[in-house]
Amino acid sequence: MGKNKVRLMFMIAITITVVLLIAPPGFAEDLLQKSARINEACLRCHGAQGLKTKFDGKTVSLWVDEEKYKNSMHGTMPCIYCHTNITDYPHNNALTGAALTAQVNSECRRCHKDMTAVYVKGIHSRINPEKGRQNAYCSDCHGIHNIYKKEVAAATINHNQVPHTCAKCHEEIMHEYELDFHAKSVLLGGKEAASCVSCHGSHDILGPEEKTSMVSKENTPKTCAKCHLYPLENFANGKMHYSLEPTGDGAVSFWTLIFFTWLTIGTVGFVMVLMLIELRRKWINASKPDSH
Amino acid sequence: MAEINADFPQNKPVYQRWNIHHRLTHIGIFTMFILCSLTGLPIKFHHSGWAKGLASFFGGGDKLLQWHIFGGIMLFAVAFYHLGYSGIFAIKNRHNLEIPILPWSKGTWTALKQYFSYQLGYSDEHPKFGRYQWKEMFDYWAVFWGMAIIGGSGLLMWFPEFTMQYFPKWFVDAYRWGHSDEAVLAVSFIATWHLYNVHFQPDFFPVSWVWWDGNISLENMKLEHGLELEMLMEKQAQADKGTTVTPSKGFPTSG
Repeated sequence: MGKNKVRLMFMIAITITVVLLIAPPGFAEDLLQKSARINEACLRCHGAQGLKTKFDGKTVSLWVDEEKYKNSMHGTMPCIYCHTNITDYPHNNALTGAALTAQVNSECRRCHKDMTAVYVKGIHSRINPEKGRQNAYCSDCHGIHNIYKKEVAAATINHNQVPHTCAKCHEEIMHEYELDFHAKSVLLGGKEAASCVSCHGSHDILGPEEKTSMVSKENTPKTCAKCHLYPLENFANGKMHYSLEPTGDGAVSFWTLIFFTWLTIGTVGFVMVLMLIELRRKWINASKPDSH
Repeated sequence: MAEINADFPQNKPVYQRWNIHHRLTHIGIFTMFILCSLTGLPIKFHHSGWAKGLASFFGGGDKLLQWHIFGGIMLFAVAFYHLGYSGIFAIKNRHNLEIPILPWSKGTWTALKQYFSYQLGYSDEHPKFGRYQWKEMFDYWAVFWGMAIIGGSGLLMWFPEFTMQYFPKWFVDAYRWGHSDEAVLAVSFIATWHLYNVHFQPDFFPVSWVWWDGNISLENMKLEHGLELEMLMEKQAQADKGTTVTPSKGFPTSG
């Protein structure tokens, strides 16, 4: 092999190395710029607060809060990454209402493959015959253009926001949960007490009647022991969520509340009357010249 | 000289109504009662804006509870302090023990009847109360009831692992309602009745200073504890005559 040939090969190797080192960040930079360029185009209309349309007789806002979206987990992604069927302007293929929700939510799995596998195990992934769709889409819990990590206070899945997010569908249980100390602590900003997902789980959530559920009779003690010292069997006995009604699980609490309410009204009412009587007597005394 | 100065408050005769233990107990109770109210009411009324404000003032939901539990522990500590020195007093005076806070102690019933007929205008004779008026007895024993309802349920809530081992869920829930409802009763009772009796009623406005220096003036003694004053005078007179009754220092009263 000649000396020149070796030198030539060496030069080629260096060139390839340099190209390989420089090129990928260059491409990535280009993707981010491309995404920003696309989004800028979309937000030229959708960034305007007043943008709306009529659908099913209702006025629907088409506004996307740019600030919120850019700070969200997906803020650097192009809009069309999820809105895959928007390819032209005017948007001839645009979907509306339920179809739009279904389409966008069907795109999540493209990136979140691992979570999709967990999600299909849970009750939220099953088809609800009344609604004709899954019980809960990804967006029902995680939001749409406002998807944040759970550490962010504004996130729909933040520890202190979870009860409000679940209550969008589970309003009745929310009312019952709110009587509980766990709820009061969470709703006042506490981080230690249990929110809905602490006991029920999140993606693979199941009802209490199913064996593998976190809140089934078998698993409840273990679930409580995530925070409480040991898995007491008695943790699974009795109703966790009760409502304050004269009969049923909350009956004793209901009558306790009634008892104390009347005890308070009676006691405070009695002393209020006594105060008036005493003050009246003092008034009479004060008008007599010779008494204290 | 003496006559010139006689009208100054420091030269008027006073009686020691509360000794240092009484005063410390009262200060401990009312500071911790206020702390527990400020940290507990936001939990009961968590919906309201002021609840969220108070909670964040105490450092959020978890810190709020820590302060509340601290207040509860201190209330128990004060209660045991009170029971402790009362017990020691009782043992020391076991041969000659009078417990005037007991509702059946001498003169209570007569004074109660006098109180109502005086206040309602049937009689002009001012009621003669013993060491404790019926109001004071009521307030005192109400704390025992409060400690049982609120303190007891507080302990059950503080140790859920212990509680759930021995009690059914419905009982714990109901006892929890008792905790906060009794607390609302206590707060509204103190805010009306107690504040009226020691702050707002004309004889004491703006405040009766017994809680601070333990002293009560002769006029107020006549007015509020006439029977006790008579009994003290009698004791003193006997002591002065040199009879067998042992005089107590100055005019101290019972424990």
